[in-house]
Formats: sequence, structure tokens, C-alpha cells
Amino acid sequence: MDIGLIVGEVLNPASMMWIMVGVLAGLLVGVIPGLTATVAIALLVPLTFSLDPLHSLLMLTGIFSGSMYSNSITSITLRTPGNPAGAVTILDGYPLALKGQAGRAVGLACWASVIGGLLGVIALTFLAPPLAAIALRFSPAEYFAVGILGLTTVIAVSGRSVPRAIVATAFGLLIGTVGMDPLVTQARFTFGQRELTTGIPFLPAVIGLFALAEVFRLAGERNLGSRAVATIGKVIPTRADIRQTARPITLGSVIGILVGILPGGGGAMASFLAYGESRRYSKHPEEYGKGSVEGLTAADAANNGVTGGAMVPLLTLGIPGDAVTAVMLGALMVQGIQPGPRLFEGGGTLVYPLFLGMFIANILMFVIGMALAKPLASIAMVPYSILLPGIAMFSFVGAFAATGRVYDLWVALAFGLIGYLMNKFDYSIAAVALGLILGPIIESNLRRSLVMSHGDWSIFVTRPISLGVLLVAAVLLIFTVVQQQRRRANADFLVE
Amino acid sequence: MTAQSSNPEAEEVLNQPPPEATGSLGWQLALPVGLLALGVLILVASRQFPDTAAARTSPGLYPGIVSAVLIVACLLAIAELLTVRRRHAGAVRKQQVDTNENERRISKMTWARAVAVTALSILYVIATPHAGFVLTTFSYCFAISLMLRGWSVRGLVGALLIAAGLVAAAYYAFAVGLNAPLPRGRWF
Repeated sequence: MDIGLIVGEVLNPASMMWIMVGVLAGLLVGVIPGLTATVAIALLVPLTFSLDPLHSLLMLTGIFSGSMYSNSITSITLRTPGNPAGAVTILDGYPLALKGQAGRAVGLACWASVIGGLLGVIALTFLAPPLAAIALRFSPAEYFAVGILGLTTVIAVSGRSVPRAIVATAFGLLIGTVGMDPLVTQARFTFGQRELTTGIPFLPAVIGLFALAEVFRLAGERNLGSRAVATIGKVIPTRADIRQTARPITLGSVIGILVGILPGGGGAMASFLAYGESRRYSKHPEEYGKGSVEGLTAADAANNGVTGGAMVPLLTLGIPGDAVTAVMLGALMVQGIQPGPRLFEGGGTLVYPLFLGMFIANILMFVIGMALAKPLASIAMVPYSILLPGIAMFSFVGAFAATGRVYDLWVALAFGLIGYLMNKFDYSIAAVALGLILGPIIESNLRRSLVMSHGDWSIFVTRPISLGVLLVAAVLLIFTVVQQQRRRANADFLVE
Repeated sequence: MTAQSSNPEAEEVLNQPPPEATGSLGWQLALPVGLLALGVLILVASRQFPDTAAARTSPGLYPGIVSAVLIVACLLAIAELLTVRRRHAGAVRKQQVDTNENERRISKMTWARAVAVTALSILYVIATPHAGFVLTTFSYCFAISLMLRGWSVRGLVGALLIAAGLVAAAYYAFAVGLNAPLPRGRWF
């Protein structure tokens, strides 16, 4: 397709307006606790029905980018993740906010998201065909290995105790087994309850684990007179911050793109992996979890890097990479667009303008995101007498809005109590959440691999990519255990 | 930060025992023991799923593996907890002596507040299918806000305004703006 035509398709007032509407809508909806990019797109899809396919796609990508970033704002200011990846943003974003640097954290999250998003679009544009070809060669054994790597990463970043991190992860994995078996018709752990046959609904569970648990925790705080965030400083990142975060942002973006390309990957796995890897290569790993801008930006760059990566299998193979792209697939099909290799035939009249549109959406997100960052971040300045009932109410409303079932309110409440207890006794709730996300992926790929190999477990170590990924996971786990032992030995020495 | 730090705050932090070393051992053990019991139950249940034609991928295979991992990890976590508490026994005794009556009173008060918010949340979920979104959410937000603002005319008026504002914001954002469903009650 002629480059002039592509530019003309996108750089016209109508296209630009729909991209901007999408970004704004994504930012506004995504900042509400509990409303993930998936929910934002699902709720806003009806707005695109009257548009032509290109404008519809442009608006959807605008919503995607905007909501992915604005989800970080509530993670930083309210310790309430808007999406699963927000669990990683909390690790360093919230401590920064508690230090009075909410504005800096939000500004850097925006910067990292934009760079991650732009690099993701570049990757999508130039590397889509060869990268999709590599992902196509993945068998269930490789997907299983990547899932295990994701779990070891979350164990590595989950606090001071490896056994407690494994307990939390295994608990999350077990929750993921509730419902119908993925391969055969057999209900598991449903106790005859019809609602449980579809499994534990993820969104209400995550809202409960993070948002409601925080409400219960805050209610038990001694000094409710003080606010969670003292001051909101400058939002625009300084040159020093940009220099300091260049490496983690690049690393996070690359991990985000690669994970996004893998079906089933998604922002959460990318953020966890990027956070763990950036901590490993950091000169200041001890700052991670206490307000490290490196950890924050690595996670956010990965989260938005996924947006470009996840579009690769969606557009070239018609396979959604995660929940967001699954909803987008549905939206495209409503428009009569069938994603797949044929989209690229005949000069790709739809996909190449879409790539340029995604690029522009990220730039617009930066401009609008930075302009609105301060008012949005100021949510955290609201007194607790407004904040606490506000978070509780939006949590319940968010849990209900996804499916419209009262049952989901109970799920959110139950997970709120679980999250509160786990937080209180220093068990990682992020590990529970990731176990819950990755559990079904790991199980179905484990069992498909065993079917392929006729029950031979060596399939996981005889395939080079699977073996390599599993070795990385094993080394990471051993490294984490050794590091913890060293820390404990040092602490014992100090006590004596 | 090192042991030789001249910073008194840093030294105070270094002298603090880890969180699991303080508080009641019974409470500390409740979660890992509870999860251990859950792991055992799931391990037993996973062995009772009927075999399928592809027996090697039976529905119980994966839950069985994960529950075994959970059991081992819970045992390790319990062992770790007991070890940490034994190592810091001296520091914990000192902290218990330092805890005065006033501290205990504040601790009870904050604990009561957390329990009250939890109880209100349970009531909210029970009442919503009957009384609908507007009434229950208003009452829920009002009760939490009033508890945090304190019993006074100013607190009462403020809590009323906050509850009304929050319910209006949620209603217009979700039901009107986004056309998203909100809970409907049987009575309203």
C-alpha cells in the first residue's frame, strides 16, 4: 500500500478525532478501580458500531492504549490495580506515592507506557511476520515452560520468604482449577454450585484481593487522619529520571513485546517478568519494592509493550493474545472484519493505517496523559472518609459490572477477606493473582503436552526451547533461594 | 545501611524483629495450617476423579501436583515461622514488656474498626439483591464515612453528602454514562 495513502487515511480530522476520543475514553474509564482495559473496551464497543471499520479499529486501539496506562494511576495512588498487571505497578508505585512522589510516579508510568507502546507498534509493523512464525512453532510444551517461568519470576519478587511465596502461588493455581476441566467434561471442586462450573471469575477475585483487602486494611490503620499520599509533586519526568529509567524501560518494552506475541501471555506476565529481570540487572535491587523508579517503569513499559505484541497473533493468525485482544476480536467480528493472514493481502488497506493509528494513539496518550496526570493523581488526596467508602463502592460496582451477577459480589468479598489475611501475614497476594491467571494456561498446556507425548514427561526437556526456558526458571528459583539464605544469614549476624 | 550506622532511625529499624516474630503464634500459624489442610483435602479429592480414556491426563493430575506443592510449601513456611520466632524470642519479649495499656486500647479500637467495615461489607452484599443498588450503597457509604468522621453534626452532614455524592457518581458513570448494569433489588 502506498505510504501517502496510509498517511492520508490516518492524518485526517475524522481519524484523528476518533483516536483522541478512544484515548480519552480509555483514560477516563481505566482510571476507575476495577475497570480493566478489557472491561473498558467491552463497555465502549457499542460506541464503535456506527463507525466504518478503520475508524472503529482506531478508536478501539485508542481505548486499549489509554486504559492500559490509566490503570497504573489507581495502582500508584490508591494501591488499587485496575488490571492484573497493576499488581506489579503497586510494588514500587505505591511506596513512591507514600513518599510524596505520586506525581513523579504517575509521570514516569506514563513515559514508560508511551515508550513501551511505541516500541510495541514498531515491532508490530516490522517484525510481525517473522515473530509470528516463531510463536507458531511453539507447542504446548513451550507454553507450559513459559508459564512455569512466569511463576518462578513471581516467586522471586514476592517478598522475603520463598516458602510463603510458593504457598501463595500454589493457592492461586488451585483456585484456578475450580470449574470445568479444560480437556474433558468433568466439573472440579464446584460442590454442585452452577456458578462455579465456569470457574472463579477473575475480575471480581482480583478486585477483592487488591481493592477490598486494602479497604479492610486501611480501616484497621491507626492514623487515618493522615492521607495515603502527602503531596503530588512534579509530573513531567526529569532528565535524570529519564536517563535512570532508559535501561529498564527498554528491557521492559522488549519483554512486553515478546510476551505479548505469545498467546496467553498478556500484560500481567510481561510486567512480572520485566520487573524480575530489571531487578536482576539493576545496580540497586535493594530499592525494589520500596519505591524504585526502575521497577515501576520496567513493569509499565512491559504492560504497554504488550499492546503491540498482542496484536501480532491477533492480526496475523486471528488468535487473541490475552483477554483484551479477545474482546477486540469480538469487536472486529461485529464490524465484519475477520482477523488473519488475509488482512495483509491486497496491500493491507486496513492493517497499515491501523499501525500508524496505533503509533499516533500512543503519542496522543502521552500528551493527554501528562496533561491529565495531575488531576487524576490527585484522587489520592481525597480524605479517607471519602476514599474508603469510594474504593469499596467502586470495587463492588466494578465486580458486578463485568457480568451483572450478585454472585460476583460474594466472590469479591471473599477474596477481599483472603487478601486482607494474606497481606496481614505477609503472603503475596500478587502471587495468588498470577497463579490464578496462569493456572489454566499451565494446566491445559501440561496436559496437552502429555497427550502429545503419550504420557512421556521427557517432552519438556527434549524440546530445546522448552528445556531452555525451564532451565532459566530453575536457575532463577535457585538464585532466589540462595539470595534469601544470604539475607537471613546477614540478619542473624546483626541480631547476634 | 550497615550495623555500624550512626543513624538512630536506621538502628531502630535494624533492631526491629521481622513481623512474623511478633504477635500471637496461634494467629501466625492459622493461615499456613489452614492452607495445609486445604492442600490435603484437595490432594485426597484429586485422587477420586474418575479416570477418562486418556487416563494419563485425568482431571485430578494437575490439582494433585499443585496441592502436593502447597503441602510441602506450607510445611516449610511453618518451619520457617517457628525458626524465626525462636531466633527473635528475646526481642519479642522486650517488645511485649514495652507494650502499655494505651497501646492495647488503640489496637483494640483499630481492630474493631476493621471488623466493623468487614461486617458492613457482608451486610451490603446480603442486602443488595433485596434493597437494590441506590439504597444499600448509600447506607453502606454513609456508615463507613460516619465511622471515620466521628459522631458529630459536622460528621453526620459530611457523611450524608459523601454517601449521596458517591452514589450519584457511580450511578451516572455506570448506569447512564456506560450503560453498565447496576444491582437491582427485589423491593426497589
